[in-house]
Amino acid sequence: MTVVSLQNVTRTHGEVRALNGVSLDVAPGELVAVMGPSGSGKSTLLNLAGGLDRPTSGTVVIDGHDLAGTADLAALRRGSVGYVFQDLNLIPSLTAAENVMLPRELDGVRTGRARREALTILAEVELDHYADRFPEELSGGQRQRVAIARALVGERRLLLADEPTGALDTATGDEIMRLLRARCDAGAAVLLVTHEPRYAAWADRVVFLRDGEIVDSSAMPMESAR
Amino acid sequence: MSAFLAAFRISRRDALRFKGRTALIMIMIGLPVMAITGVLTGRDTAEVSALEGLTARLGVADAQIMTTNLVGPLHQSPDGDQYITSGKNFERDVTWTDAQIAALVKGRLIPYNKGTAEIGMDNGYEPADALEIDLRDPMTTGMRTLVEGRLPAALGEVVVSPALRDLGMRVGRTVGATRLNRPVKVVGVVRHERRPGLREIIGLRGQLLLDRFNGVSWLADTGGVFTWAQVKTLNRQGLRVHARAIVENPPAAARFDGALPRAQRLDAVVTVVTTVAMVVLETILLAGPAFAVGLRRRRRELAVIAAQGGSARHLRAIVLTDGLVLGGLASLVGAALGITVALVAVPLLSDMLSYAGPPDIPWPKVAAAAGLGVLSGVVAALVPAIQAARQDTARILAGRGDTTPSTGRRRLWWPLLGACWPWPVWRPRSSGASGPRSSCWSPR
Repeated sequence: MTVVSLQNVTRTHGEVRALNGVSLDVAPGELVAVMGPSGSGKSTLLNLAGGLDRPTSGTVVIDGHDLAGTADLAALRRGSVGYVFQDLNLIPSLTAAENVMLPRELDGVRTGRARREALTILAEVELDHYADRFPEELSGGQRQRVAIARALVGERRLLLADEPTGALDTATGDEIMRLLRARCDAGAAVLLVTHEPRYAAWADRVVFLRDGEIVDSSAMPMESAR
Repeated sequence: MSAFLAAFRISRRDALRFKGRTALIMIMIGLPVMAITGVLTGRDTAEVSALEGLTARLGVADAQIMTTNLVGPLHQSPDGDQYITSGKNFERDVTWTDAQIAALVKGRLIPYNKGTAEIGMDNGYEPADALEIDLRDPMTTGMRTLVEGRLPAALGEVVVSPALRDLGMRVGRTVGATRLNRPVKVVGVVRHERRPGLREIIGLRGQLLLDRFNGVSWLADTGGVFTWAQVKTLNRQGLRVHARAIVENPPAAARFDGALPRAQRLDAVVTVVTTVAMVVLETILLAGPAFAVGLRRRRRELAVIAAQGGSARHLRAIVLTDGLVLGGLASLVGAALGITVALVAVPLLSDMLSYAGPPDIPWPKVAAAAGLGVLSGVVAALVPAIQAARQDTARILAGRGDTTPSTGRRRLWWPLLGACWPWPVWRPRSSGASGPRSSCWSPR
């Protein structure tokens, strides 16, 4: 059983082949790191894995739904996928709790219930005391933890993180990785794009991309790099 | 519903965060609403309706019986100030006597003639409204308020309004009335409570008005309610009636749609529709760019929402809610300011306006003006909302900006759309009745 499965996926932008025959499965409780130089196709891979984009060829299945047969990708993302970016993750005009509530409200969940769910997940990332603070009142690490909470609120099991530690200092970055690892161990599937080997070391598996192709895949944890 | 609440929350908070942009859009939408609301409220407040002006016109009488220059039936409005005929009635200068009116109307009658007169002053003749009535009669109680001197008791005596007194017609002075320079002595000053700036001179019958055919009427104390059936009886004689009971409670049978000929009514409707369209269009063209700039700033934020599961519909709703929130707020503030300014300004300008009714807010029209403001806000946000729904989320999240096709092309369409707007298609037709019936209008 996999949460996301890419089989022989190709994505071209005009003449440019961003991904070329990539196959990748991420199972529940698994943290997979994707590494590679700029322009290697990491972000394209993340966009396809999260249903933000459709493949030119090949198959992408998220939580049992084949993208080719899914008309409403936004609904699929609301129910199954959460994104965490390097920065500017949160809506500045909403409090931490309201940011976490947002995907649930967009999904039609009543405001009261969405807030209860948000407070529960914020408590799990130890930020329930900051629920009513606005993003500008939070530190960089706290903002990323709120973004992780938002990515996992409701029944979502797939967390796609694009350089989530890129704008943080080392200690805070470690803290975020520890949290991602913990969420993974609690059953979430995490696909992490990173440049940093020390953060990739938290992964169960590391995938190396170059020129849109997987050139290496290591299932050996790089714990020594942490 | 929760998605709308979330969009509403974002819009409300953004409005508070970006105060400069909010103020700019609110001014662009709120100013027209304020102007329209102010004019409507000011007009209704300044205007003295038939009901509001009943005492100043009738005193405590039951009705005013007014002559026309028609022989034969007419159909009048409930207040008797407008009337239409079949067009076959013979028009001529009709002279009515007290005895003829008394034969038609039961009760006590006193003459009540109205017109204009010229008063010979030091610097020439001053035009003024002229009234020939015996203000000492109990039937005229409340019609005017004596503020100085006494009421006229004999021919050759007059009272004037404060506006004429201020022009030099002080109590005790003798002036020449009409171009015949009939000498009349000012014995008092009376005030019209609903028309404080009015220039008016009042005396007994036969000394101020030269025209014996127009503006001739009687006040009637019938000792009971004047019915619509009685009005119709007098209408058949070519007389019209301003009856207290009819003005206070117009019967269904008194419905009158002859105020304007059909062609003029159509013109009036087209004028209103064109004005509304112009106001909305102008507001949209002013506020639209502000929403477009706001969208450029928010593209990343909207992309994050899309990544979390926001659909194109959600993104569109978020931007449209901006228009709804700002348009609603601007309309609310604009309407409140318009009403306040009108209610404060009308009493201050009452002398200049000549009329001063009680505060009168036309709520349905104010609501319509505010609704237009909200509509303008939403429509101004429409194009940015459509662009938001079509933005390329993946590209924006990658920091490569949006290259949604047709965004640039659409920009070119706006001036073309403006050029194609059917400005010259409609022009108000000159007024004038057409058709088989003629229409008449008479001032109060």
